[in-house]
Amino acid sequence: MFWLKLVRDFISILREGQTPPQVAGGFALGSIIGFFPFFTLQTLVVWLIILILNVNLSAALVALTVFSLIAYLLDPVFHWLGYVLLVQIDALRGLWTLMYNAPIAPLTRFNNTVVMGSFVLGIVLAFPIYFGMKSFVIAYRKHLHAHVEQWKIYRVIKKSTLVQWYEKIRSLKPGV
Amino acid sequence: MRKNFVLFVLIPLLILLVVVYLFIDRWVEAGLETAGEAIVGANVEIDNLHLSLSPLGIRFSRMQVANPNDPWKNAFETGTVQLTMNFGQLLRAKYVIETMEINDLILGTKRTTDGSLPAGRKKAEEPSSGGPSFSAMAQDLLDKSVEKTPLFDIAQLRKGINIDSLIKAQNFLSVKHIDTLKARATAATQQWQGIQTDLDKSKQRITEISKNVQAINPSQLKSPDQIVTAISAADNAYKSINETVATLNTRKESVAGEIKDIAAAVDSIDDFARQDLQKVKTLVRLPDLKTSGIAEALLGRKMLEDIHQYMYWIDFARTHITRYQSKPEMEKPVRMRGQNIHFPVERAYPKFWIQKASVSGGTDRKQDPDFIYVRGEVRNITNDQTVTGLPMTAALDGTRGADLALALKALFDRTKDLPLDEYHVTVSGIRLAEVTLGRSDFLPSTISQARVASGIDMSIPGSRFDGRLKAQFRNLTMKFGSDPRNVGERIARQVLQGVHGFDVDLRLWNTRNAFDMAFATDLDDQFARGLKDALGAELTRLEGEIRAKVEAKVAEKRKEFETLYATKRREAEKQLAAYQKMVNDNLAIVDSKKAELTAQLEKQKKGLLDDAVNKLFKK
Repeated sequence: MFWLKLVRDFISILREGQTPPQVAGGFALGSIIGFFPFFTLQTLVVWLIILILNVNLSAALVALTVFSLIAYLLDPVFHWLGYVLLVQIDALRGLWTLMYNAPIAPLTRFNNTVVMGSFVLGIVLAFPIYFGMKSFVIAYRKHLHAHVEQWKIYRVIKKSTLVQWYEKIRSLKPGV
Repeated sequence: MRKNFVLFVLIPLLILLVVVYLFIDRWVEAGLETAGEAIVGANVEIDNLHLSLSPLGIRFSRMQVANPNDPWKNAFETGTVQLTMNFGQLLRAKYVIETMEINDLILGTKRTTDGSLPAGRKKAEEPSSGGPSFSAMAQDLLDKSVEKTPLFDIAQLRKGINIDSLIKAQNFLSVKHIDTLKARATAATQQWQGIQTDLDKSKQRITEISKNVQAINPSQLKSPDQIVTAISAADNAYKSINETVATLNTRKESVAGEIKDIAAAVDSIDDFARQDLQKVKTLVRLPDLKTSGIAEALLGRKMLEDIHQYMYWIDFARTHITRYQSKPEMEKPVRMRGQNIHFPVERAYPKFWIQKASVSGGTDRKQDPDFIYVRGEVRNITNDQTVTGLPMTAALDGTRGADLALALKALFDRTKDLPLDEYHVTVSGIRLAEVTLGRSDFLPSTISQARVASGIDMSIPGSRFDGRLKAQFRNLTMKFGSDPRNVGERIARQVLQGVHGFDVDLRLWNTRNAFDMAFATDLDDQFARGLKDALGAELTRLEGEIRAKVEAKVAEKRKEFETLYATKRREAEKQLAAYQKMVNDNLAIVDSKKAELTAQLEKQKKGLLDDAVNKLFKK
């Protein structure tokens, strides 16, 4: 139910509402979180950024879901990259040791190979994801929207009673 | 009031807190059990866990940890355990246990349920210590010890070995030597036959010379010239005879020299015979009266079996106490788990640290008059000794009843790249109710009522191992379960029953990937002394039997040779004597003839002189 609503919202956002940079920003930040293997301090920080900046939340959630699946496939790459950065590059060893002894940094679990690999790759990929998504939203709004509205799946989601019921509950105002 | 806040935040929060309050103990208990099972690879059960917040700590009434190798037994179980934690470090996700009390710790108790993990739950992967385990090396040594059973059973020895066929099959040195002598004697005989032919020829020649000399009639010789010519012929004949004799003598001496050599070589037959006897004794494998190896066969396997059991725990400590690696190897972790890389930490706490654990335990004093009681401290149990800079140490003292005293000191140092484990154990007053010794194929027996004092020192730097055990067995009585199966066992039992105490010094160390064992005990000497008395006569008789048979075989060959040698020698001597007589006779004839001729010549000379004087006076 929640996810149906999420997909519907995401499609509607692509169509109208928030600006393409807001949607792309939410998607890029969501992709970073999606890459993380488990909850760490940086997950919290990225969530805070998502909440503080006026980026699209649905886009972030969709990106989180999609990139979590991709992350599972990319795990060996994350592990290898993290191992190289943490163990094989002697120049960085001092930095890691410093961070390891710092009061807060260990909460990021940066010394885990998959966390390190996914974080670095997530940050690097966030930029192309942002610009790619931005271009996609603009193109969607111009050319693709009319076609998508004709899709059967879109209409099913839109008319789903579950989604409508969920929207009613959500729209209840305090004190009413 | 914000109704939505109350409805959706406050009330759920309160419910959550109540649920947490009600179930936190069970969750922590389950969490600890799961974590423990992942480490041990068998069931871990904790009863009545209670979490207190001020001071932060945990208390539980009992913990059972099943033995992964024998799931119907516990590796250990505890009574009440309580610990206090450092709250400040817990907020930094570090589990620093300041004090821990473990009461009523008991090892190896029986379980009422199977302690193995369900098939679906994978056992924790054993960390590698970078080489084969000591337990595996000890198993190898144990397997090899089976191959070294000494042949001690005299009856079996006598039944299993046919001395006659063994002697028949042997290529004796003495026989070979006699055969060589026979060949030499035969060659000398052939040489002698050649001489004999020449002897016959020279006999004829000497006879002819003698006849010619005898044919000279001095009275018929009228003139001195004729006499001088005859004397000259006699001289030549004498010379010819002597020359013939000299030639023959040279050849005779050559043969005589060979015969003399053969005669000298006959004496060395005895030396070869002694060597042959020793060879047969070795093949028969007569037991060595020094009996080195008997004690090792008797005790070594039992001790190795015990060592093999303890090696599991030594391997466990080596592999489970984390060692420091400045650059860890790349692992293959489960997906989305990753590998944690640790860096040097200064002025900090490790992730997990029990600073001091007090341990006490034993059996129920009320029910067991010989109750066991152990107490001591284990310090600095941690996941990272490089952070604490302190090795893990254990010091335990224990007693059992009024007699047994135990002291254990152990050190597990992982502060450096080369890990080091050390153990020092002293035990005195161990009462051995019943200890099975020997092997099913060699003297199965039990020691009963023995008192043992023992000291063990072990040092394990990296993958090297060096351990030494010294034990003194006293007041012991040997018992044998069944009747002796053969004469050998009967004698061995008789000897062992006279042994009431012995010392053992066992050293075990590894070279590359295998254990070496040095085993020293005075039991061997005691056994040897007893065995000499009990077994000496039997062995002497058996040795005599072998000696007689070997000597008989050699004597037979020797007699053959000596008969041949004597016959040939007698013949040769007889022929030589006859020849010598013939030569002497002929020389005597020539001598007498020469004397006659000389006298004739003198007479002739005198006659001529008288005639000349007469003629002179007549004128």
